[in-house]
Amino acid sequence: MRNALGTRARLERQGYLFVLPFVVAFLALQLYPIIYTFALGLTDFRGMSRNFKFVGLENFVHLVSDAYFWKAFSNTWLIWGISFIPQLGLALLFAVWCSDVRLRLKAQGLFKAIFYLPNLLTAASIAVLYATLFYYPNGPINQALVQAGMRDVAFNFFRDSTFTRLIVAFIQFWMWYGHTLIMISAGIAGIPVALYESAVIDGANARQMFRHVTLPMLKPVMLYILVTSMIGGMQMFDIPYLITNRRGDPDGSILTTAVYLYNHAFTGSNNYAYASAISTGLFLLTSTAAILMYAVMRDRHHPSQLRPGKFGPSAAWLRRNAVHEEGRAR
Amino acid sequence: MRKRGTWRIFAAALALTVAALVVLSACAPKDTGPKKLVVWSFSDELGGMLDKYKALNPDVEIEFVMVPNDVYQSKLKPVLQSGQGAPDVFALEAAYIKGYVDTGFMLDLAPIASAAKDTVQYTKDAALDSRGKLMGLSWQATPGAYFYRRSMAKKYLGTDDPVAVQAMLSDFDKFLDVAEELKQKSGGRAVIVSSVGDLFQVYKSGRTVPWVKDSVFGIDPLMVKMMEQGKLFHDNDYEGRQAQWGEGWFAGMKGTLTDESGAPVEVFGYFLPTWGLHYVLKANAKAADGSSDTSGDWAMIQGPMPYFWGGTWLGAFADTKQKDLALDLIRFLTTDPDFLEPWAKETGDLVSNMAVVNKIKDSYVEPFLSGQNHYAAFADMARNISAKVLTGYDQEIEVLFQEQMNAYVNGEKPLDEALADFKAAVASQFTELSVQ
Repeated sequence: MRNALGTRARLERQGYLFVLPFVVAFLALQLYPIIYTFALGLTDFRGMSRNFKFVGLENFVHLVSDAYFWKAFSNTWLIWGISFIPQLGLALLFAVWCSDVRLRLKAQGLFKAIFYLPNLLTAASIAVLYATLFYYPNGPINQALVQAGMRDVAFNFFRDSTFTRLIVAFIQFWMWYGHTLIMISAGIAGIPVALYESAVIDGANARQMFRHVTLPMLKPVMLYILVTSMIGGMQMFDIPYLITNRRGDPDGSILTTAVYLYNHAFTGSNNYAYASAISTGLFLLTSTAAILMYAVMRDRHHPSQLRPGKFGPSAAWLRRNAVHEEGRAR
Repeated sequence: MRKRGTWRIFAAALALTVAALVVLSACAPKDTGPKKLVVWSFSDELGGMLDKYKALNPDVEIEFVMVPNDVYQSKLKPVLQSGQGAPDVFALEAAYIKGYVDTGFMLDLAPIASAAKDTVQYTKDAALDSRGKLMGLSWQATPGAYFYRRSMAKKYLGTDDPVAVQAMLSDFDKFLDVAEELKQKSGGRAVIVSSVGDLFQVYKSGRTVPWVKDSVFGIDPLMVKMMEQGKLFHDNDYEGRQAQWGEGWFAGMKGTLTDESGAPVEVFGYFLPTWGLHYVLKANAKAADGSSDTSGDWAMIQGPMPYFWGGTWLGAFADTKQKDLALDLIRFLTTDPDFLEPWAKETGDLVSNMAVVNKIKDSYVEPFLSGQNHYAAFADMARNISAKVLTGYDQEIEVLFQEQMNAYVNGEKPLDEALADFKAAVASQFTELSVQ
């Protein structure tokens, strides 16, 4: 008895030992900078001066009425939205094809690897690659368009707000599609085969199984992808920063919140205080959006609450699996 | 025993973690012992110059740190601010030197100002703080010229003589006339500049109203005129639609530029400064596959306006522990004839010491310019330059300006709207300025 307690105490102590590096690194390198950033937002720290004073909420008051900030914020949502919706849709489609036993798609691993590859490239290389592809007037795409007779003269893609946004959104889609695909494939792999078996017994076809089994069961995974992608998307920086003039032009069309923040902090007057306020504002808005997403999409259709229906699981199935599924969800 | 062992591991892990964090989070202040200088720059040019100083002063240890240009300022500002790991001597560019002279982080160069009596005035003006104190010195002067293709001048204008061509291009209205003539006679294949952006450095130097004076933002009428002229260049196809520093911009120098349908575009000339001749034009005159080489086919003239472009200044950190040594290094590199004369001969760079320049300027013959003496020509141009309108805001404000100029030139918005958007962008980026 005594011996067992001693072992337990020692194990607990060693447990602390193992988490210590993380806790110290987290406190010093994450929590402290976060608190410091918020505190800086309450000062007038800017430029090359060593002194600053507290000015209260002045920066935050300015932030709320800053048209550029709200423009950057809506740009960020727009570009993220354009890239995320097809990304989720196509990843879902391909993941379902991959998992379809009747299709027996060959070389799935190869396709998944190829789709994932763009994610391994550095953003700087990708920005240069796309800037070169769409170069005006004699980049490859313009040469192809003109020489194929589709246009008389070259089109200046990076002077057109819509095309510039689409190009950035496409790059985000292209870079993150493979990642989303793998997440959804994992989600599908986690759906109990029994559900499909009973759906088949009930006479459901492939489309009905997708609509009434796969989709509802994937909801938690999709919510996770949605929220993490949204948080990442709100911090979108490297591609929109690098692909044009580092200011989010033409006409501020790809000025994202992070680019706006960076330009205040690290160019011009180095307005660290206002950049901190932007950063805090971004944090609050992103958190709010994440909480809203959870509130709206929270898993209300837990298997135990499912109603028997035409294409839903049968009443008998629900009874049979109620206890089992309850246990799995916890 | 076992217990103590665990705590020992715990303590060791804690010590290691803390030590790692200290190393990660703050580079300990560098020990500037006797006779050691740390020098920072954004180009390796300075490295070769420092070697000459080291050769004469073997007891001085110099640590040269080259920081890539695009992150130079974001590395330099924090170390000057905190004083930790700050260089003793550092390089600054024309585009932002005025942003540093009034910060209190730069050492007053008064003790060596007398050594700079022969230094061309504009390079000193560029480094004066708001009270008129000298905070930096440059070893070079960087006047700009217009370089044109002799073969094209002969073919389309009837002469390649620099004096005659200068007379045809002596102001921007005449410049437009010649652009039209080139277009007509070449059947639309020849353009006078490869991009509208090429006009920028020239017009910019002609300003008399600084972007910012006493915290009030202002636009020189010449900048508005440049927008209007840029639109004429664009709408009449007088320019090659390229972007400065883009692939096509360089292709024009090689004579290999084509448009999107594959037809050749002939670029008549480029606005470039001293360094542009050596490091940009000469370096890009030859096609990589050897199919085309424009070397020897160029001539240089002043063009429509005197101007300067770029240039590197040296300053010292106010809190350096090696004040005398830092001052001596700057004096040597930027004013000493014993260094500058051989340096000018070795590199062909136009040095800022006019006594040295006058002594050697007549000895140059540049085969790249078909025998023209570029050195004497640049020396004359250097005298006409003014740097009085420089401010610390220039670099950032000009990025905002160029976006609005592009939008207007491309016909995306009318002039009034472009100017209003420019002011709004400046007001947003620089909340401390008053913008009317």
